[in-house]
Amino acid sequence: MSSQRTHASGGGRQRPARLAALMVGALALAVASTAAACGSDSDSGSGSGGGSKSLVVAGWGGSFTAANKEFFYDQFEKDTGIKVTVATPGGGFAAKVAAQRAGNNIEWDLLEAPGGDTSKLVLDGNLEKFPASLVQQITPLVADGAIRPGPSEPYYLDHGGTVNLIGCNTKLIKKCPTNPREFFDVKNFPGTRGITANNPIFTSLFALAGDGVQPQQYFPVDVDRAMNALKRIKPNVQVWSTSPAQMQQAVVDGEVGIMQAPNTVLISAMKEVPQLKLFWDGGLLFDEGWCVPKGAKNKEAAFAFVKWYAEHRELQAKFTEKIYSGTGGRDMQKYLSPEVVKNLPINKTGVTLVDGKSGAKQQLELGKRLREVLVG
Amino acid sequence: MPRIRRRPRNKGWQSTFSGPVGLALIAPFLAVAVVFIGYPFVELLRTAFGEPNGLGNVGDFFDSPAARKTLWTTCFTSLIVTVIVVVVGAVLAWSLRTTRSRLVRMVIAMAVFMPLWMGAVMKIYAFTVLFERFGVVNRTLTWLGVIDEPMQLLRTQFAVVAGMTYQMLPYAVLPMYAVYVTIDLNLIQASESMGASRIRALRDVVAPLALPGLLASTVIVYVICIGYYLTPVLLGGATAPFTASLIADDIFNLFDPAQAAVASVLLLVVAGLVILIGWRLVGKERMRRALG
Repeated sequence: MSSQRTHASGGGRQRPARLAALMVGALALAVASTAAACGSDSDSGSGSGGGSKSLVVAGWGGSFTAANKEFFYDQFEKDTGIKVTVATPGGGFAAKVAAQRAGNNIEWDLLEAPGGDTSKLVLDGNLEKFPASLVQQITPLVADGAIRPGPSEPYYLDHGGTVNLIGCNTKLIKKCPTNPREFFDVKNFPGTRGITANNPIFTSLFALAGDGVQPQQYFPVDVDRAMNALKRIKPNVQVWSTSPAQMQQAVVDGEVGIMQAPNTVLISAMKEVPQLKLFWDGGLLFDEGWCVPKGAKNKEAAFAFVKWYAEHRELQAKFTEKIYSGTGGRDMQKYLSPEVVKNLPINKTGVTLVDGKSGAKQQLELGKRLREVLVG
Repeated sequence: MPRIRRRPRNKGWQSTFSGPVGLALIAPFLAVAVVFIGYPFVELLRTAFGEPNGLGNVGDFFDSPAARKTLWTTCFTSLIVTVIVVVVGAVLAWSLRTTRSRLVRMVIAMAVFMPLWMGAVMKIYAFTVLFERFGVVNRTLTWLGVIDEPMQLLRTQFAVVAGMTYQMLPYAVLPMYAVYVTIDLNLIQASESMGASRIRALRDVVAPLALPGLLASTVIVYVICIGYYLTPVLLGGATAPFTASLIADDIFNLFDPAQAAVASVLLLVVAGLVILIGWRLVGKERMRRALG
C-alpha cells in the first residue's frame, strides 16, 4: 500500500494520510462547533430558570421587538438589575406556549403577543392572571380598558396594536392598489406581491376583504371564500412571509412591489425605501399585549416588568414616536405631539379592530386550510 | 522448594473481552441510547399512533394534499441534491487524491472545509445575497445582457437545491476521499500498460473499488438531506416546505403533535429504507468498511 501512495503523491508518501487526518480533524471541529452551538442554546435556556433576576421575553422580532428593546428592556434591566433575554419565535405564540406546557417546560416569562394569540391563550387557560395588587397599582396609570380582555379577567396589558395594511413601492409600481379589493385585482394593479402569512386570521380576513366582504361580516370566517380568494391570487404572490423580518427584507430588497404587512414593518422599511406608500383603507388592527404564560419560571420578574412599563409613560411615548405603535398608558396624548396621535394606527380611517376572541376560535381550522393553499 | 503456581492461561491478558466485561464497557452507551434514543422513539410512536385516531392518524396525514406534496418535495429534492453532491463530490475527492499540485489540493480542501466551518444561517444568508431580486446573480446577468428583468431565484426549488448542495458537499467528499486513499493507484498504470485506456482503467478498475464508498456517501447524504429544515424555509419559502418544516408548523403553530409525530415517523421510515437499500446493494461488510 505504501508504494501505491508514493506513486500517487509524487514521492510524498504521507500526504494523503496527513490530508485524511486533516479532514477528520476538520470534521471533528465542525461537529464540536455544532455541539458548542447547541450547548450555547441550552445555556441561554437555562439562564431563564431560577430566581427573579432573569426575564425571558418572547417577541415578534423585527422593528417591533427592536423598539421594545431600545425603550423598555434595556432600561428595565438597568433600573432593576433583572437581566432581560429576548427570544424571537416569530409568531404562533399560542401554539408554542401550549407545546411548552405539554412538555412541562415553559421557556418564556413574558410575551409580546398579538391579539389573536392572546385571545387563544386566554381561551386555552395558558396565561397567568395578573395579581390583584398589580391590577390595583397599574389601573391609574393605564388607559381604561387597557387591562384585557376585561376587568374580571386581567390577563394582558395593551401594548402595541399592529395594523396589517397595504404598502406599495412607487419606484417599482406605477399604479398602486389602495385597498384590499384593488390588492386582489391583479389585472388592473399589476406588480410583484407579498402577503403576511404567519397569522392565519390576519391572512384570511385580508382575503375576505379582498373578495368584497364588509368588516362587520368577517366573523365567523367564511373559510372556503377566504381560501378561494387566496388561491386566485397565489400565482401573483412572490413572498408569503412567515416572520416580520422576512417581509421587511423582501420590501427593502425590492423583491415585492406591493405588500400586505404590519405597519411596524413598513414604517421601518420606509427608512431604506422612501418611495414606499402606505394605504390604511381595509387595514386590520389587532391589539397586542404583555402577558405571562402559565407556569413561567420568572413570573414575578414578568409582573415587575408590567408594573415598571405602566410607570414609564415617557418611554412609551418615545416608543410610539419611533414606530407609530400605540401603548397602554393613560392620557398618552399629553406625552405625544398631535401629529403623532393623528397618525397612530387606531386613529386611521378605514382600519378595523379585529375581534381576537372570534378569530381564536377558528385559528386551528384557518391555519390548516391556509397551509393547504400555500403548499398545495 | 515451594511449587510455583502457574497462572491459568485464561486469566492472563487477552485481546478480546469476555461477554460480561464487554457488556459493562458498553453499558454507559446503552444507557444513553435507551434514554436519548429508545425512550423518545417509543414516545414518538405512542404520539403518532395515539390520539385522536390511532393508526388512522397516518390516513389523516395522507388525506392532506399539502402533507403529501411536502413529503414528495422532501424526497425528490433530496434525491436531486444527493445525485449532484455525489457526482461533484466524487470528482473533487478523486482530484484531491491524485493531484500533485499543492495549490490545487489546497483550493479543493478549502472548498470542502469552508462549508463545514461556517454556520448554517451564514451560509444561507450568503445565498440570499446571491439570489435576491436585485442580488449578485440577477445584477450580473442583467449587466451581461442575458436577461432583461430580474429572475425569481429566491424562494424557488433551485435556490433550495443550490443551498443544500453547497452544504452537503463535504459529507460526500470526505468519506469518498477516505475510500480513494485505499485504492492502489499503480493499478491504473498496470491496466494502462496492458492496453486499457484511462477511461476504461477508471471504469473497470477504480470504479468497482470505489463503489462501496460512493454508495455509502449517497446513503449518508440522502439521509441527512431529508431532515433539512432551515434551508427550505429560508431559501424555498412558505410554498415549498420540507417535511421538517411541516413538523415544526404542526408543533409550534397548529399544536397538532399527532400529525407532527406521524410525519417524523414517515421520515424515519424513508431514512431506514434508504439505509436498507444501500446495505443490500453494497453488502454488509463493504458498507461497514466504507463507513469506516
